[in-house]
Amino acid sequence: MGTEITLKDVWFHYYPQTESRENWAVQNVSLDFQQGEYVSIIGSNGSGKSSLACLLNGLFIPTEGAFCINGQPITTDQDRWELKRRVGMIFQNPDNQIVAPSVVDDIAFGLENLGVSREEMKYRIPLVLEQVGLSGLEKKEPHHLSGGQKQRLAIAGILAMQPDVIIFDESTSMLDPDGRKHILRLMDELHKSGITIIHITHQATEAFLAERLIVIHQGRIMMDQSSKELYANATLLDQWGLDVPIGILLHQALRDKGWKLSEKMESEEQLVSELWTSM
Amino acid sequence: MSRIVIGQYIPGDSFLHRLDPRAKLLFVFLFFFLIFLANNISTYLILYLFVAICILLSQIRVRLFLGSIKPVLFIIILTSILHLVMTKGGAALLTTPLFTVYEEGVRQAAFISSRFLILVVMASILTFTTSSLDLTDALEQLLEPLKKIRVPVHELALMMSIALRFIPTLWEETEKIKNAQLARGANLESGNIFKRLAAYIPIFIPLFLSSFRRAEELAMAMEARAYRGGIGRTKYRLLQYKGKDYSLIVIFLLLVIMIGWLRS
Amino acid sequence: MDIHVNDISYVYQKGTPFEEEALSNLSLSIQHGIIQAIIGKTGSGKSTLIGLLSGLLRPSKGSITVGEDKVTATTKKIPFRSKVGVVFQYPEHQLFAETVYKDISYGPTNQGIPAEEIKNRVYHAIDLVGLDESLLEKSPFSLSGGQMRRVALAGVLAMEPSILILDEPTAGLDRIGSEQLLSLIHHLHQQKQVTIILVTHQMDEVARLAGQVLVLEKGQAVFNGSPVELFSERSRLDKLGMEPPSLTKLIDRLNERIHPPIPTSLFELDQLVAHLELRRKVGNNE
Ligand SMILES: Nc1ncnc2c1ncn2[C@@H]1O[C@H](COP(=O)(O)OP(=O)(O)OP(=O)(O)O)[C@@H](O)[C@H]1O
Ligand SMILES: Nc1ncnc2c1ncn2[C@@H]1O[C@H](COP(=O)(O)OP(=O)(O)OP(=O)(O)O)[C@@H](O)[C@H]1O
Ligand SMILES: [Mg+2]
Ligand SMILES: [Mg+2]
Repeated sequence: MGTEITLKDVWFHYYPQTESRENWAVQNVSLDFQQGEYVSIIGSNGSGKSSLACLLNGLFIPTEGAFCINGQPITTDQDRWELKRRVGMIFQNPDNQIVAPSVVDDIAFGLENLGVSREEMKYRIPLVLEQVGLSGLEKKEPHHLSGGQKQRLAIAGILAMQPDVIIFDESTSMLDPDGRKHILRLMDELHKSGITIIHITHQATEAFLAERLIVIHQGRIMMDQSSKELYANATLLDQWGLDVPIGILLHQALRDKGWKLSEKMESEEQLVSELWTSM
Repeated sequence: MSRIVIGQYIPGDSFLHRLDPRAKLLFVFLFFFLIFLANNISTYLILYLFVAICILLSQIRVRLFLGSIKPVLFIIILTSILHLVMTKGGAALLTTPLFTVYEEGVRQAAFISSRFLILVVMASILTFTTSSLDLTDALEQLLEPLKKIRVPVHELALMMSIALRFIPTLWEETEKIKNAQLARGANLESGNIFKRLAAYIPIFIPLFLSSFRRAEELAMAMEARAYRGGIGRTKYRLLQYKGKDYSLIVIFLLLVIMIGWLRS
Repeated sequence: MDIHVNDISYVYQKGTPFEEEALSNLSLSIQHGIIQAIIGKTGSGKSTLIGLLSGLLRPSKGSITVGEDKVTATTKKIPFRSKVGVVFQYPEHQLFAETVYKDISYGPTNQGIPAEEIKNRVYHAIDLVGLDESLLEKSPFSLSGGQMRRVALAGVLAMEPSILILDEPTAGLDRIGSEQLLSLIHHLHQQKQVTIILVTHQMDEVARLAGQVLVLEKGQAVFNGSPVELFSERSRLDKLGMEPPSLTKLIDRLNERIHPPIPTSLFELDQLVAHLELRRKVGNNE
């Protein structure tokens, strides 16, 4: 059946007494995520990305507004607990999400919490290890893994719980380029297998790999468009402190010099071919 | 991390590595009592012989055991000296104006230090051949009956396992912070005890802060993986006694009989 | 103050089953006043090399000379430690004092500098990193991530090192934060003529700042030369498993269509624009 997540007019804050509404971490957010989407959420430091992520899997409870899964409001602790199976989350620091002192035991942790039988665990664990490319490292201790491997272990732990949605909260930001590429590839594969991917980042190049982009700034949603549409409007990203893709910068610079290029570029591809013809 | 942490697990596939951790834990626990039954040269020789066999079986290099003795060497030497000069009895072997060493003193000193040595080496054999996870699991299962009197055995075991998981991480973190402050000219080596303690403040504070941050993030990650205490939880690891584990009973009885027979 | 690394090796946990050679037979010369980038995959030995260059570690073999001072495996006290400032990864995690002022003055105090001079240095350092004076009496922990990092940096600059080592200084910062930090590094280098050693995974930073790049692989130096040299020869880059900078990637994309190809030695967008302009004016089909 899948999982559709809906936020309606959601507000959220950490410290109730001291803050006026314009300082709340999440302000008046309405969003909808369909099963199977690949979405990036981008915003600068402190824009409210992590707070939003934690609202999406029930770690935080909206201060105001409605949070629904498949149209059903999530209200009780039991609801939120069951949601954890459907919506998994990978955090930023690979070190701080591994609980057990060995690879297999860490993957088992989530399954144990869900009350999955031993036989089922024995069946699932090798499968997810294979999927994230950690087969053969079953008995390794976490501190002997590289950052990228730790992050893949965290993903395996979530995958074993067979979620419909996985949220990545800046999960690539502490990795080296190799580790980063590996995780991005894995996201793509998971998306192709039907899992909803929500990727939170402040890197434009990574964000544009998604199909849909959401820009958040000071707790508010500024844009919510397909990545093609957003690419065409990417010069706007600058005002919220975000990277503008280099192709767009070139496009703008050349237009300023009087080159006859279309006003909007939908992709780097288009830029390359137009450039060639106008030379 | 310039030297290995004492009692660190050393992966391997020896007979001792493959024993059930509960069996090992119980065995070592009971063995500690056995040490106190030894009271003459032949009984101590049997214990030494047994420890030597265990070291051989573990397939771990002897220098690592020497490494684990080092930290307690001071205590061993101190108690030996005390026994040498304080214990009276038997023939006087050496007389000085300050003290006299008697035969009995030498015996006691040898026995006491033997006891220490055997204890430490046996404990090292246990930790060298058993992963920390196996140890906590063994502890959790051996203490299972205490759940009936409301001891939170599951939570305690989880806490211990998390602690073990994070020891290397925190150790690395300590090194990093220490290096950062050393690079800022911190002087950790000279001055009196108070000066030195004060010099460590710039290391302790960041370390505490980062541990809190870690704890907070870990708690979030655990909750995100549907953790809510022990309710309705299954267990992946299942410890099962096998034939060789029962052999430990036979070995233990054998030791008891031999020592009981040879002790004076 | 030139740096000469002469055939060094470094072994961790020597004599245990966990023994590991992190650097082997590495030689390197860094002239005073340049920006030297160090790149390489995880575990290639970058942090170990930093430890050695900053005098926190001693080489297991070989020697390191900084200016007049030489360090080998047997050297007791490392003389150049006070001349080398190190900004470690996530340096905001090393802050500890109750106020920003006290934290920044920690280093100079340890150096035994008189209070009046320390005050000057603190003010000078916050000026360099672009922090407001009103923050000096605040707790460093009440600041934003980017500000905390600048406090940490100021704490190192206040020691007035003649060599500054930075380990992934922009990690975790957003674009504005990284931009500010990079132009700060650039300025420091211009104004103070300090040698800068920059460890990074960001090829854009290498292309933009570095005068010389060292590529480490499994503890060995596999390349040391200029960024142009490194990035212009695609086959070598592939062999090293490195990504080109984003502008180089764009030029590659363009070159799939455009002939004759645009040179890959352009690292600034302005240069690329100028190049394209020229080609349009001259006519591309000569
Ligand atoms: N635990 C907390 N307690 C109080 N305030 C918080 C807490 N976490 C975040 N905030 C505040 O809420 C706002 C949004 O923070 P959030 O962590 O969601 O941002 P972010 O977009 O994830 O930033 P980053 O890129 O730094 O991860 C910020 O102003 C931040 O200071
Ligand atoms: N304290 C240590 N004890 C044992 N081995 C170590 C220690 N520190 C590093 N090593 C090993 O030395 C090698 C080089 O490590 P180093 O930290 O210098 O790499 P790096 O290039 O800085 O990696 P990263 O990009 O992940 O920071 C690695 O194989 C690592 O496992
Ligand atoms: Mg965040
Ligand atoms: Mg490093």
